[in-house]
Amino acid sequence: MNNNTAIRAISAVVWCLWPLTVLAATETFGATFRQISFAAWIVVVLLSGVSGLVALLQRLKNADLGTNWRIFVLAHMAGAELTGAVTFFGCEAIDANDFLQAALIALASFGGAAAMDKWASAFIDRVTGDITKKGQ
Amino acid sequence: MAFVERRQRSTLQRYVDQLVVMRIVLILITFQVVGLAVYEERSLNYRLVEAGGIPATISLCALAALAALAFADLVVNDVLPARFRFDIGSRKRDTIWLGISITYLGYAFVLVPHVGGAWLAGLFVTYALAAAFVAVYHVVVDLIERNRRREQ
Repeated sequence: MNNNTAIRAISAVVWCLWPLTVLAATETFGATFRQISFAAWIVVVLLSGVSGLVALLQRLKNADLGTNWRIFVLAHMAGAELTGAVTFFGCEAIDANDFLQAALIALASFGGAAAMDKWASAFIDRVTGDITKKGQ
Repeated sequence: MAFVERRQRSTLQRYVDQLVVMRIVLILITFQVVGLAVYEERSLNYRLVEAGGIPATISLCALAALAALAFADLVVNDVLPARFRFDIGSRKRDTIWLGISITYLGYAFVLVPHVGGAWLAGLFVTYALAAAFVAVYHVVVDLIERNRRREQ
């Protein structure tokens, strides 16, 4: 089986499974989702975004990103928002103290952005390494 | 080359100077928020900290410390003559302002579900966005300045 066939098989499985996954998630976490107001989600998104900005601005200050800055911005923001939302959801499920929730969301988003920073850096190194090898 | 060289006047310095008034206003507002939370028993800020317990007290102390650092940075690096320097303040200016922004957003997050707290949450979100803007603005101006110096 070559790579293309494997990728097609994986994508077919994902497309078949995702409606079932959404249904299962709605059944399992639906009650928690319904308790959370839209305004709370907006504040969580803002809090995660600003925490991700801390990591992003540190990277922008300390390294010359050149033309790759878009990848870094996308990676930081995606990492921060995703970890922030998951942390918020987890905190809501265990009914943690509100201030503790805010602190945990901020810390998790910063951590998520920092992790994605490392990943983006490794990704760019790998891609540019491949291009350099092909050029030689 | 060090990232921030605030004492060195550049062509972009006027863009940084334009933001001084905004920084003064935000610092005064932050001190006012801390003061209300500590001294004014009828205020929503006081009740917020009282209800939040130890985590709320820690966050209020953090906000006061960050505001004090921002104030020291403003006075020493932007108001006093050039022989006075506060390097940590200018190097970490973006982190300080983003810290203030995160603390305000934390308060907004706590206030949102409570009845009567929504308007104060909106106010805190506005302050937080303004503080984040200050941080991003400084970093962007410094990046442009760094690129210009490299090109010269």
